[in-house]
Amino acid sequence: MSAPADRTKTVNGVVLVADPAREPCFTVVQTDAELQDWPDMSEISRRERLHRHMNNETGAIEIAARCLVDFPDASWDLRMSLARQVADESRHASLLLRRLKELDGEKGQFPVANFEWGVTLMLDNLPGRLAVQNRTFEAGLIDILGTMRNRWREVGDHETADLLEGILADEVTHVRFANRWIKRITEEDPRNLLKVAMAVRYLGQVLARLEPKVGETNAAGSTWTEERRLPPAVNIEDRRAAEFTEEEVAEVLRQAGFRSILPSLAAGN
Amino acid sequence: MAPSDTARPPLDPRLFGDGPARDPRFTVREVWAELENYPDGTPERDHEFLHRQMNEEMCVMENAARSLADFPDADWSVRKGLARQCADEARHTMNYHRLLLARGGHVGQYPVTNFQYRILGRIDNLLGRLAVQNRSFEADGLDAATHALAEARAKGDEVLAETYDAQQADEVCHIRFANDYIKAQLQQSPRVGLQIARALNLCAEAFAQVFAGGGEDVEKYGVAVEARLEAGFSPEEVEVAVRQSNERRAAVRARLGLT
Amino acid sequence: MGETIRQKADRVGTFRYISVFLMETLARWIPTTPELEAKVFFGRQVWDFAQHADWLGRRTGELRSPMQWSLQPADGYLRVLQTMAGATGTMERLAGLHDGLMPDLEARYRDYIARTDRLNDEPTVRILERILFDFERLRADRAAFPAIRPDLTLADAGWPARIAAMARAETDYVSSRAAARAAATAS
Repeated sequence: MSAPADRTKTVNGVVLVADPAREPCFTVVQTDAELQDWPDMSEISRRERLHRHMNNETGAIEIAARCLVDFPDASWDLRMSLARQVADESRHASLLLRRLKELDGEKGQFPVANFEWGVTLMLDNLPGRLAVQNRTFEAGLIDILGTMRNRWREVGDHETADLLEGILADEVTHVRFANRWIKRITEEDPRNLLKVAMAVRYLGQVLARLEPKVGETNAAGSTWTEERRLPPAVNIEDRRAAEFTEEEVAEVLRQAGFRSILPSLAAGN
Repeated sequence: MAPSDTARPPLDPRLFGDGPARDPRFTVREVWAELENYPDGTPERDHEFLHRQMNEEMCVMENAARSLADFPDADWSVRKGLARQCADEARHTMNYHRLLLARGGHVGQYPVTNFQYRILGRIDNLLGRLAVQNRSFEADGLDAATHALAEARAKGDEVLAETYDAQQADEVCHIRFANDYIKAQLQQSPRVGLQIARALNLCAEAFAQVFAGGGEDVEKYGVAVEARLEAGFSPEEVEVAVRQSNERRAAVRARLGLT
Repeated sequence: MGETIRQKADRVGTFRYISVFLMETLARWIPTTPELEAKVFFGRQVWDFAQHADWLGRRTGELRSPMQWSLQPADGYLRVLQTMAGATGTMERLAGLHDGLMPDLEARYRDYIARTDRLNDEPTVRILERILFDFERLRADRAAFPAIRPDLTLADAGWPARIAAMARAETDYVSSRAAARAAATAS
């Protein structure tokens, strides 16, 4: 794993690509412990969620944009998909900023971290980057959005819930094009599977080093518990729409401890 | 009444469907011999050629349009190809119309025949229609356009040359999408080859009736190898076309006493 | 215009090169531009230029060149693109592209449409007209930007005008024609 063109930074002994450009209003931090997030849906928690999501979408714009720049010889249809992703994530960031302002929030109100950028840009090949960014981080976002959309609705904020629903539809297409492309290139040349596997293993190693531990407290004074460390409910329906196989969905469920088997899975099986 | 209606048997209705609609300016004939076939080098030949091409492009447009309407369940890719072909052939028709008017001609100046449309009306499946219209008629048109382009350039007729050049590029696309579709269908089910064979046989029989009396006496130009390859014909298919064309031209030359 | 299919393909392929270049330039700028509003402004336009490249690339395939084929522009025009892309300030980037380069590019598209036979070359004309339609929206977005970030100004006030002047000075943008002219001059 190397990214010779980029400056790097070291976080808790892990080398990552240095942060992308951010305005002075932002406080950029390096670990989850430095972030302020609250487990509830209080007003400040809502604003922080939107703010964090906005910065994550910004990171997604930047990662897809860099894939366009770094791999000019990729197939044109894939480059078109990446270009579309750049535009989609840009819309998402704009929408989230607008909603944040409507809820009396502002840019830079909370610290932000660029973990996904730092990890993904360390990978020097496109199969690896798509496996990590689209198939892992964005697929994870499908699960998070599925859960969060419901939580926003539960607290009566249908406008934000609708916004997340729209973003979710786009994210499904981003994961799907990556799934299709990775499937195709691994069929064409099985050596690409090794690149994917190495990228996923690298991500696993980084997460093991940097993930918050139970008992640690973040900048908002919120303590990490075993439950909070669990992945969000697996959004089976949308993962299927993104063309994960039944086996892949089952594997994600297994890793999630089956804590949230949705009715649609039972119906589907 | 057409001049030779009394002198020939009627066209076989098994091979020819109804003709397309034409406005009253047109005089529609049935076979090649009833058209005004001026010899090369005569002043009227160029006018008549533009008029004939204008009508033929219209027939091709009508064929593509009809297939679009008749086969709503065909793959979207081939339907999109047909829709694009409609637009292209409409442009070609307008192009020849424009040239005809600019050179002092007018619509209806010469009789026309709509045999392409009428033959396709007797083919009830898309594969057969594409095999006949796009892979045969259009491919022959490609050979003719390649020759005509060189001829127009040699004469210094740049306007006509540009028309052929653009038309040739379009025809390559029409043949290619049909070739792609036919190949894909054959891969899925080789039995559909029978539909193609039946359509080509019908076309050959119909051609014999339309061009009876010398209409197929083309000896000036051969197969446009490069353009056919570009259009998705295999090297083997082009080789066969070249051989058949050479044999046909030799026979015509012998018949006309040109050898 | 009186050009052959190959010459038309050269022009369309050059337009495609420019569209891909602009897509990549915006993509290159995104991570290194600090302001969120500018990042998303560039990000949304990445897709516009990608679509323009795609339409033009389909057309090269119809003009008897490969599908999605690009032709690098003449050296002088390439230098204009590279100079514009080399901007580092946010407003120099935004205005260099929108006020400097794009009016010239628009003029070249309009010139193509004016010179070609609209009937014979209708598919190319339609594509360019669709691109010009998009350009109107991009221009409106650019005009609205100062209201979104009034604090952002040009550090180099003359930058867009210099890009525009550089672009205007390059009459030939298709490399094969420029090369042919150079060869003719040399002989």
